Amino acid sequence: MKGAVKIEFILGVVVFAIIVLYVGNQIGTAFNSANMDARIDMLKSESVSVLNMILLDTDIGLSVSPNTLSTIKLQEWNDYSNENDGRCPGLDRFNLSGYRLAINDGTDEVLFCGFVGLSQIRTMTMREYIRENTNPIKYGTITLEMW
Amino acid sequence: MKGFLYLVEIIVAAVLITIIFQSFFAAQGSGSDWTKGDLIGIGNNVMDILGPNIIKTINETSIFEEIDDMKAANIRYTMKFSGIPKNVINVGTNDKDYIESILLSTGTHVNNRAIEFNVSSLAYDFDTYDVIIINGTFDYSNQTLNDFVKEKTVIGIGTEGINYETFFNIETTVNIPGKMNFTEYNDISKYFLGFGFTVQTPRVGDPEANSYYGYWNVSGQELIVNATIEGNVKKVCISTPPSCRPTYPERSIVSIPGISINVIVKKIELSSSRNVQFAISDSDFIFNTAIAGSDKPIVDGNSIIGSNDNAAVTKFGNAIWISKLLEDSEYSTLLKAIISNSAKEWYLGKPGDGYIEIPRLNSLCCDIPEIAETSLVLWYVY
Repeated sequence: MKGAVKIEFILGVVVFAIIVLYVGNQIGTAFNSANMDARIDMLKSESVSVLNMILLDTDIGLSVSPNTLSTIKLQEWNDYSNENDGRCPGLDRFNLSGYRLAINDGTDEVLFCGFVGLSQIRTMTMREYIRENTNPIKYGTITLEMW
Repeated sequence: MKGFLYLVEIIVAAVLITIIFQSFFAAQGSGSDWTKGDLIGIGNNVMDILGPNIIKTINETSIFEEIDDMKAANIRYTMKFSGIPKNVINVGTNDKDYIESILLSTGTHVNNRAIEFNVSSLAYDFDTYDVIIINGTFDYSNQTLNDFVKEKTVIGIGTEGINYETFFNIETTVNIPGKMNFTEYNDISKYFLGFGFTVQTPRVGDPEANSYYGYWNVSGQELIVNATIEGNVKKVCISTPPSCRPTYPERSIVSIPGISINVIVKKIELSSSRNVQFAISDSDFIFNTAIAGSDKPIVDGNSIIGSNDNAAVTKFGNAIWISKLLEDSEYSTLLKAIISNSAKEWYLGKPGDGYIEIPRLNSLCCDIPEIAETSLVLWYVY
């Protein structure tokens, strides 16, 4: 039995292998998770910037004054979206990966543009707005999904 | 036995390594929590839309109708206000009729806001009160009252209470006559001057000119107050009798003849209730019932009170003591000012768990300087 391998050695190798595999797996999971977190943070900050642009910028956004959306611009975006495979005109210039913009006026949908995406890493950000020249004042929500 | 020990060592080492790696990797990739960030974003957005006008009409129904239209279904909200008096102040008292007669005889307005007083008899449960007023005999060693005063204001009137000296930290000494005025501009005097007085003008002066007049006894002098409409503009004059020619529209500052104080014409009512509301613009306003003598602050940390003093006020923490309270417009304004200054932080509804607050500061005008902090309070329900 002199040439036989000791049971302690075999167990040591097995435990070592388990530890190496476990550490490798955990490192992979941690990096993956960190990547996802970073991606979500980036998407979220992009969403906030885009929504701020839509709500506050009177040149390239949809507003006539801060938080007040123009009925004419909404119609223009709707028309463009219908003629260009659902793309949102104001968002094309930002080179966004995937997005879907929905603007509701109470219960009715005022504008819907963007794409259908299957990515599980996605964010949804919401803001509120006032509709221009409405009496009584109409409020609504803007929802931007990004992936 | 030797081989067995090796096995034990390997197992112990494996367990230790697993625990260490477990705790090490658990700290990684905790992720960003955007739930509060989203609430803050939505809250800021809603507050920007509501704008500064929200403070002008702190009306639960109208505010909530607007926010209801905006917020998402899984978000609940309420509003918090601080720095300005509550719009409806709940007052508990042991002398309901008298306190009502003092507080409700005239309206209370400041900076374009109305403040209401909801007076009720003192019940066993003090939780519903913003302020408690004790008039006359009462045992101030009452434990519930002592618990209440740790959080909210108790106003005591007169020298008939049991243990009131201890409760209000008052040292009574010999009488020192003093004429009452505000020698310093503190928060109570601010509201006293801002609320001012409502002068009834029931007498018909010149029916064709739509003119009405009344008398106002202020700072020891009787004045005639004459209100009328001139070219669709409501105007008023204040003068010593017999005659008075209206010249001042609303928001004017008027120097009262014979008295070295200025008043602001807050509002002229010439419809069903005919009256003129004045705010006082000088802090050296002197009480009618004052006794001639040295100046004396109306609010002091620990005043020396004599029997001839009129409406001397001391403040000890949340306990405020007034030497006497007469059915008189000045005492009425004084009590309103003390109560209003005591209830300056409130929620329109109770916040839920894990709420966040989105504050905005607004400067109010035009009777007195007031800074209101309005906060939208948001939380998730699911």
